[in-house]
Amino acid sequence: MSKREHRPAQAVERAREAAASTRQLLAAQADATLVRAAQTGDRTAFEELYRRHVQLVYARLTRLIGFSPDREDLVQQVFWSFHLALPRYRGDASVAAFLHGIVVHIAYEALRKRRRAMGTSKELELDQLVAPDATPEARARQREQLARVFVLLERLKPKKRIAFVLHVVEELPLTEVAVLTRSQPRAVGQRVAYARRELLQMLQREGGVDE
Amino acid sequence: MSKPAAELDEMTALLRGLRPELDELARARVQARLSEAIGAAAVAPAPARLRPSRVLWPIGAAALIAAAAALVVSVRAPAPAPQRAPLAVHPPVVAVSPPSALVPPGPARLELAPHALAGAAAAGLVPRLGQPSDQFELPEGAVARAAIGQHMRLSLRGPARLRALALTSDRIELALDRGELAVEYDAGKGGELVIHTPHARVRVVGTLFGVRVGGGHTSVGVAHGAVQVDAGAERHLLHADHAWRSKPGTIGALDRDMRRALQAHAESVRPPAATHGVLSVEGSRSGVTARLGAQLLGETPVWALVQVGAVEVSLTEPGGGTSIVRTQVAGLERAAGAARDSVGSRTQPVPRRAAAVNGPADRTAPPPDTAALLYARAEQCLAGGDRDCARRELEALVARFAESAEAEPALYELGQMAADCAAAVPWLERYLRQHRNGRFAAGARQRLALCHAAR
Repeated sequence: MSKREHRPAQAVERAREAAASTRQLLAAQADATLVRAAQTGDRTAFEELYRRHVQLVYARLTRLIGFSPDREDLVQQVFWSFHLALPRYRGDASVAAFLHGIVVHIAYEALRKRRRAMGTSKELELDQLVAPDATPEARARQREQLARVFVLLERLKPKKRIAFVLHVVEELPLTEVAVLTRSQPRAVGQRVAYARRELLQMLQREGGVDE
Repeated sequence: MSKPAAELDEMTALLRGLRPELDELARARVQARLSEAIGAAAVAPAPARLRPSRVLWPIGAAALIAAAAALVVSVRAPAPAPQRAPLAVHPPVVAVSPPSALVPPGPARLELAPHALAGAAAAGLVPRLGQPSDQFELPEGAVARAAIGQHMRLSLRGPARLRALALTSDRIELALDRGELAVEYDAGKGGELVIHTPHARVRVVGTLFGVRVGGGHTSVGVAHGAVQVDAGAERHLLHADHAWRSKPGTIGALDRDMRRALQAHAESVRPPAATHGVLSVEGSRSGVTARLGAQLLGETPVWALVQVGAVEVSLTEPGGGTSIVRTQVAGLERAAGAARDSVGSRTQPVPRRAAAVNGPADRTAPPPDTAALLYARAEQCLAGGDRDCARRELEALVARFAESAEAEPALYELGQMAADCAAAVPWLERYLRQHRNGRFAAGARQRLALCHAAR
């Protein structure tokens, strides 16, 4: 294949990458535009921000606090806090990052309050989350695993749990987790390490009982 | 790797792959509560912490009571005894409903159109309405239309029985035992509206909707807005063009009969007309007999539909003392913000026009276009998958607001959205002419290069 024939394919790839990053930029810019409009009292703009981010907020909340029945109320709290914070929002962070901070704070408060009241996962809901194309056996196993992981996480202290989920599950760098949790990166690292150790001990104990 | 460590990794990966989604109803429910809270916060100090709607309603109610208090006007009358709170006479807070006496016996169709109201008022039948104990019974085929305050209009189709459980400025509670009720309700102007049926409790978010009770079950259909239906432990949020049935407890499409009834209701003549207004006599004292000339209105609190203009109301205390109150009754269709009359009463705000079923959702004047608004609209169009709509908005943006900050991404986006190079090149070239070192210049050059290569 000649060098000339290579060029369009490479250029298309580059253009695709550029388009993807442009999309992100445009999305961030559209968010900024909507925030500016919402700051002037435009409720339609706020509703649009809600529509754009609600699923992300919900997913993050679920990963942080599990299948708690009050997630819907917590989503509402997140957006209400966001609405109250709008006048102070200067666009230093993206809307998604700003919302993530609120989600973490509200999740922490919720976990702190109901730590001992174990959130039980609804089987139906878990069923909707496991891979739809898996075999019934695989689905049952995934469902069981999901229920188990949330039961284990529930035994961790809220700060450790949040640090673990943000760093290990969501793969955020320690510095970013530290910003979100208003802590020092070193403290976050320690929480993650403790959380991991405690989870391993729990699994080991469970394994021992099983065996 | 040890077994627990491998297990933990597997669990972590499973958790990472989790993509839970808030279902459409829950999303709409949260959005409705947020709108409600933001609306309440616009007229009252924002609550420190948002709770579900059961906590928000009192906030809204407090705001409404404050607004209602602001409407109470001075009364030109002999000074009441100093230790007694004065009565307020003013245009309505809560207003008119049709008494069952108006419904003729046997199959009939009753439209409380302006002329009917005028006739009824002349016959002295309309006054003394809106009492919590009121009960309306309609025979087969009869239709009664009425307005309650400025924010609710209803049509009741017989055979029907509707009972008023609570009628205050911040709460209207009705019980529909049987029959078909179509309601247009503006939650932004009124407080809570709840309709009880034998099988469900319907809480209104602000909408045009219908409730039908018959054959051992309840149907709720929505033409505009949203309604929350509580049936036992279940809760549903109904949106436009959807209906809920207590049997089998499912949500489906709005049926043809209900749609027709809602359409008829939306298109019906508004009962209050410019010739009539509502006189309200209320205050902290009850049991005061109010008369309009020789016509007995009833005991306070009382609301009556009367002809517009100056009226003289005589108030007789339970002990026998009589005082005269003069005030001006404004027509219900007069413009909002019109000048106060001679005794300081406010004229009525313009009632919201009934929108036809499936008519345009936006009933208020659209805000003036701005670059930000056009850009946001384009984003909305894109989110909905309508590229043509997005293109139109962006083209309007770059034509009308070429100097705005939004024009730069709009130009670039137009170039990217173009279906082929012939359409894309003019936008991209224009982008590069105007924003040689712009944020998207690299992307624009790449696409241009591709287009030139393709030639």
